[in-house]
Amino acid sequence: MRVRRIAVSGVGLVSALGQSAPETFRALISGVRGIGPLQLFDPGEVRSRQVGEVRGLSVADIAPPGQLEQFSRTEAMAVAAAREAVSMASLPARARVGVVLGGTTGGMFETEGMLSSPDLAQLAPVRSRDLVSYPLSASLARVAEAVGGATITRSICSACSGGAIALVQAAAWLERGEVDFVLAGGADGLCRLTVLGFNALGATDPEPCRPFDRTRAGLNLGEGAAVLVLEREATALARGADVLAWLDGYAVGAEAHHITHPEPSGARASQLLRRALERAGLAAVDVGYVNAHGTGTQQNDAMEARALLDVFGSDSRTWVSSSKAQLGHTLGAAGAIEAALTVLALARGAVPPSVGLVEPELSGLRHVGGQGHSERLEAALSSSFGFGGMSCVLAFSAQHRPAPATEAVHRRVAVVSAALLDARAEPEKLLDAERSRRFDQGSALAAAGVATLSQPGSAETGLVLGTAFGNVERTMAFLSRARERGPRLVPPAEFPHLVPSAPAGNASVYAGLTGPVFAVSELAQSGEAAFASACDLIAQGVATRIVAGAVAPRDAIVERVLGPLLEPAGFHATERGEGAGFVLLSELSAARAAGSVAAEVLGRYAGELALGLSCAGVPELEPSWRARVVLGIAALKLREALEASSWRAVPRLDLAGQHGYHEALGAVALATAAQLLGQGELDRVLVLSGANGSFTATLLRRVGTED
Amino acid sequence: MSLGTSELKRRIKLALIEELDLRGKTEADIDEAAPLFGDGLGLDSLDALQLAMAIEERFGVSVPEGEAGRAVFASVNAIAEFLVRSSGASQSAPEAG
Repeated sequence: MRVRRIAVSGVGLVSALGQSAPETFRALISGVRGIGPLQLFDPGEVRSRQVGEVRGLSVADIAPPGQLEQFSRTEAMAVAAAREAVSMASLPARARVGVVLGGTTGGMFETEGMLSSPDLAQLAPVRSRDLVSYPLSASLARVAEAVGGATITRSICSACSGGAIALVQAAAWLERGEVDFVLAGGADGLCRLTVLGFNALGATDPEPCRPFDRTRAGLNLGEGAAVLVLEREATALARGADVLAWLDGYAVGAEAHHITHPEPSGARASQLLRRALERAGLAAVDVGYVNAHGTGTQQNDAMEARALLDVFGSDSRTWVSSSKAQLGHTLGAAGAIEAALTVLALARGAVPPSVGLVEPELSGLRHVGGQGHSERLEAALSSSFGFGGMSCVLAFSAQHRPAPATEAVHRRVAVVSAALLDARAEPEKLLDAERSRRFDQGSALAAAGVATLSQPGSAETGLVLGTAFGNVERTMAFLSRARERGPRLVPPAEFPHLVPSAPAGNASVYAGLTGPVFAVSELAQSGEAAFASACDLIAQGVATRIVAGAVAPRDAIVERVLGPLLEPAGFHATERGEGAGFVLLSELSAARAAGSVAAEVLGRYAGELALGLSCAGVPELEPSWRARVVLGIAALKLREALEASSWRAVPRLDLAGQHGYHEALGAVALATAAQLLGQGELDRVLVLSGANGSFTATLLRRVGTED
Repeated sequence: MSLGTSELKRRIKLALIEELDLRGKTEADIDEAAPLFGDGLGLDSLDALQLAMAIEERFGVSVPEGEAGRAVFASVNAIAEFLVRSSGASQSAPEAG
């Protein structure tokens, strides 16, 4: 079998150093700092106003005609970066494209004033339409539209590593053959929430930041976007694409240590660095450059320096620099921006500088000077270590470098166990009061769901959690308080709980989950998306065991404004519900060896409702099967497609009817299906969700002792 | 109006319970001499930031950053001493409530 290698054939960048990849990279290598006083808004008296702001961003020039009002800066940056990447890659027309973006605050800047205003109840329908840019997933639709449509989309939030994890998701789609091209990246715009929050945490440097320097005093926030075009080697060769670099390796994992502090020894970080190298078939000595996370905070840089020294040794020839001194910390975009810079470093043979660094705290790392320099590189790493210890390392090889000897193996996925928490659940009662003291309902549901699953053994386990909105009510209370009492009295301990990935991070720390941990956000289909991403990670061998689930906690703003506004079309909503569902997934042979399998994930399908179920590959029902259909979000058109299929006569469970509509319903459906199969009387369960013209289907098969 | 020391300590403990989400704990559960961080109440540096903000809000006194701040947060007694030492500490701040 031919090695499936992932090519990077285009990059697009919007940053404080410029609104294109060439402009950004040129300024980066020259040592220009994009850091300066915040101009976008007045944050009041805060510790630091030094930020990496994208000046002169014209949303009007980027938004399609008639959409300006509802287009956020984050979306504009994502679209501009996507257009540049697509043009650089010479993406063919009508290609099968996936879009995956990391982010943390979406359209927060444009909507935070409106949502935190006391007269929310009086919000006119006309004004509430301007809130469509609020959720993280909003950028996906904008980017998809800008490139002529997407077959599959995903929004990833893992605090500050989402933009890197997006590339791992992209690789999974390509390896699975789901699409031929993926636009993978991240976008985050500056907003009051993050400026007030990071300042309240005392994490910001009042001066331009100095990653890895002995005198460093914190980070500077930034904003920007990056999009990379990824494709399979075979596609790139067949169409004669210019390959900039290869994404040969990656590792995703969590520290399960603390919601804001990194684990000081750097042990987990060095493990992930090694794992990424191993997957890429690289030795440490092959790596010419590491684009470090390097935020400029005391704790991150000390931890990261230890990890790098552990992997590369103290007399290493590997250059290390952090681009955050020049761009600021762009949060959910950072992993993608730095991946794009790493790719350009390989493609152009140029090593980015260590601006701001005068005296390193730890000797032994080979830091660059105040300006970059030319050097032919064989391979390079880009690492991202997010709040809550959610981490990702990407390994790129230069275009000229031969493929690694390892082959991509597609692994089968099993469901080990399932858990359901409905509206009557009191998740906080299942948790240790002291260790869960700051948890909101979303975090409590996530931690309780994980704790409820039966988990024999203590193997490394991850968590992929669907959260459509994050905690909007708590976020707006934080902002209202800042407005009423001023930035000095912003509650610092609240802030880490406001990022949409907080329930995933909290559950990871609570339950000691050290596998891949992140949140996905796909509005009505957040549960299905989390399940799909978790299956992908196991199938591509990035993880062995992952809890996949989704939470839809009670939230007055979601209930009154965002939920109804963003409800899927063609779905006649019953009343609104709340709840959560979880399944523990495992690589099939590992689950068998552990003696615990409820079901196998036999197939995952997605398609257009108008074309019908079989068109997307859903198998015809066989007469011998004892089967059920479980419906999550079921638009009228999905019911019609079901009636037109061979599955029409199979007894079905309609979960929206039972639980009301909520954004975690897909996860409830999948957990219900696994429980049904676990009872041993059925052979097959087909889980269906569909709205807005498209659907997803998952076919689960009972795994008996005879298998 | 001057606050008695025991009333001051009661208010400090109330601030701890409310601001640090010490669910299920009452004022009587908090030992005034015991360390707040590490082994005692098991608080961390995120709690310290929250507590500094709360003391500024409730008592109108700003807690210094770094080592000096750490000494202030040694125990309930240490916080009380710090508030008494700081001018106006034995009088509650105008907006405190």
